[in-house]
Amino acid sequence: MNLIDIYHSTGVLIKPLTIVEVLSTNKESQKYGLALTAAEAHELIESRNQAVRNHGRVELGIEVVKQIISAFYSSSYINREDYALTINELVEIFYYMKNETEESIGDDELISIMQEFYNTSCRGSLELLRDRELAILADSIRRARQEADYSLERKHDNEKYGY
Amino acid sequence: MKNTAIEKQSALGKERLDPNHYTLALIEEGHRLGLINQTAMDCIQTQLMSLLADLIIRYTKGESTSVKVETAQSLLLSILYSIDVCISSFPNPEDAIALLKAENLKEIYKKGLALVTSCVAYTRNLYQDIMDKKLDIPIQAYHSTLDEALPDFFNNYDEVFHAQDTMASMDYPLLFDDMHVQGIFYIKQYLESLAIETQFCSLFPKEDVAKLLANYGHVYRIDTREALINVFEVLLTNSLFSILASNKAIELDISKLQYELLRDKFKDLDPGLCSSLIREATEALLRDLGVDQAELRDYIRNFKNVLMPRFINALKHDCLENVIILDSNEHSPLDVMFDEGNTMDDESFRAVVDQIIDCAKAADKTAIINSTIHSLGDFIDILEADCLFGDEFQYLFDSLGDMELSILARIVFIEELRIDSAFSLQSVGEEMMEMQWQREYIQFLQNISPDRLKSIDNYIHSSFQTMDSSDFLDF
Repeated sequence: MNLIDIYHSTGVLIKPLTIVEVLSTNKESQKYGLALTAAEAHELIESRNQAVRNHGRVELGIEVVKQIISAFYSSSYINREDYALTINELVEIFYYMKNETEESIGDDELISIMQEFYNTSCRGSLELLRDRELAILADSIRRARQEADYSLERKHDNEKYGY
Repeated sequence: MKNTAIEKQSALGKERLDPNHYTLALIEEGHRLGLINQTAMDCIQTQLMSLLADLIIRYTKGESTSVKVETAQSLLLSILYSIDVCISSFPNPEDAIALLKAENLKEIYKKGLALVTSCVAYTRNLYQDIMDKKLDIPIQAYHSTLDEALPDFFNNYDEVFHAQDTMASMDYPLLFDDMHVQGIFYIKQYLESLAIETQFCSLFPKEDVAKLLANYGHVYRIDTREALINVFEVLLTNSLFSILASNKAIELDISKLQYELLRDKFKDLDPGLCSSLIREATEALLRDLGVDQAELRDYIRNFKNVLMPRFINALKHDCLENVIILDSNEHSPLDVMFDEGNTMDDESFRAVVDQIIDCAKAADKTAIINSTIHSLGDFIDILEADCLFGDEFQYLFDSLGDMELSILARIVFIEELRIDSAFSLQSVGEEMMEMQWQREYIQFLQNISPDRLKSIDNYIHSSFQTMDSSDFLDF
C-alpha cells in the first residue's frame, strides 16, 4: 500500500480548499484596487495543487496561498490585469524555493524574503526574483550546508583517527 | 454464524500479516474479510492522516505547513511503527481490529509510543549490562560494534520522528539475527542475542578463545582480527566436537589424532545418525558446562540447525577440517608464504587516498597504489575508500599477480570456500556482493582467460602462511 496514496485519496490534510477562503482575501486587497474573481480563485487553487505535486511536497493547508496574497497585494508593481497571474507564479516560486533552500527557511521568512526582493532589487520582475535573487540565496544556503557537512566530517575523522 | 466466525478467525492468521507493516496489513486483510467496513476504514485513515498532520507541524517546529513527500512518508512510517507495537501486542488479530474500531487512533499511537520509549530504556540497560561483561577477544568488529556503532545508534535514535530507522553500522555478526525487524526492536533483539552469546563465550578462558581464533584464521587464511566472525559459533562448534572426542566441553583443543577418529566415526554414518549424535553431544555440553539458563540452552540447541548442513556437506566433500578447528601445531606443513605487510598510519593513508582521488587516469591511480600500498589491510581499505570507479577497478586488478588475485578471491568467496573446499572460480556466476569492489572483482574474473583463472584457482587451493619479511604487492 502506498502510504501517500492514502493521503491523496482521503484528502484530509488538504481541508476542502473552498474558493470562498481565497476570495475572503479580496476584502483587504480591494483597498489597493485588486481582487480575484471566482474563476481566478479556482485557478489559483489548481495552480497551488499542481505546484505542490510537481515539487514532490505534501501541504497541510491553504495558509501559504493566503499569506502570499497578503504579502503582495500592496506591492506597487502589481496591477489589476496581472494580479491573478502574478499570485499564481509566486505560489509556484514559493514551492520551488522550499525545495531549493532544502527546508532551511520557514514559510513566513521565505515569503518575507520574496516580498523584499520583489519590491526592491527585482522591481516587480518574477524572472529576476526566481532566476537571480532566489537562485543566489539557494546557492549560498547549499554552499553553507556543504561547508558545515565537510567540517563536521573532518571533525569526526579527526576525533576518530586522532589527526 | 459460529462456523463463519471460526473461518474468519483462522483466515486472519497473525503469522501471515507482515510484521513490519502490521497495522496496514491487518486493516487490508480485515477489510477483505469483511471485518472492517468501508466507513470504519475511512475513519481509521482519516485519523491516521490527522496524526500525520500534527507530526508534520511538530517536525517543522510550526515553521512550515509543507514537507517533501519522502519526509511525510517517513513520518507516517514512524507513526505506524508505534501503532504497530501497540496493535501487535494482541495475540488475537480480531482483538486488535476491535481496538482499532473502538478506540481513537491517537490514543493507540500514544500507547504504542510509550511502549517504544520503554523499549529504548530497556535496550539501553541491556547494552550497559553487555558492556559490563564485555569479552576480551581480538575481534575488531566486536569492539567497534559495542564501542562505536551502538552508542551512535542510541545518540541518534528518535522514536517520535524516525522510530522505524535502524541507522547503525553493527558489523559484528550474530549466530541468529533477524534483520527484518526494524527500529529499536531490532537493536533489542540484537543485544538480547549478543547477551546470550556473551554469556556462553565468557565460560571459556580468554587465552583458549584467542588460540582457537588464531587457529581458525590459520585454516581459512584470514586475519581473524579484521574478519567478521561469530565467536560464539566457533567456540560452540569446537566445544561440541570436543565432547564427541571424549574431551570436556571446556577444552577447545582437538588433536589431529582425535580429529581423525572423529572423521572415521562420522564418515560412513547416515545424516540421521549424525544428527542424533550432535543432539546428544549438545545435551552433554549443556550438562558439562552447567548451562541452566533456559534462553542460553535453547540458543545452543538451535545451533544444530545451522551446524548440520555444513557438517554433512563437509563430510561429503571430505573437508571436515574446515568445521573442526585443529590446534595449529597439528596442521600439515605449508608450502606458500604470504605476508600481511606493514600497514600505514592513518594520516599517510588519507594522503594516499587524496592523491588517488586527484588522479584522472586509471593507470596513474594504479601506479600510486602499487608504489605506496604494501599491506593487504591497506589494499582492502583503498578498495573500500570510494576513490576508484568502474573501469579503474578492472585496471588495478589486471595489474596484480595471480597470487595476489587469489588472496582477494579468498576474501570475496570466504563463505563458498568454507562450505566447499573444492570451490572453483570457474563456477562463479552472478553473485550478489555487498561491496562494489567485490562486484567489480567478480566481473574482472569473468573477463580473464581460462588459463589465468586456473592459475588463480591453483593458488587458492595451495596453502598459505603469514610472515613478516615481504609485502602484499611485492610478489
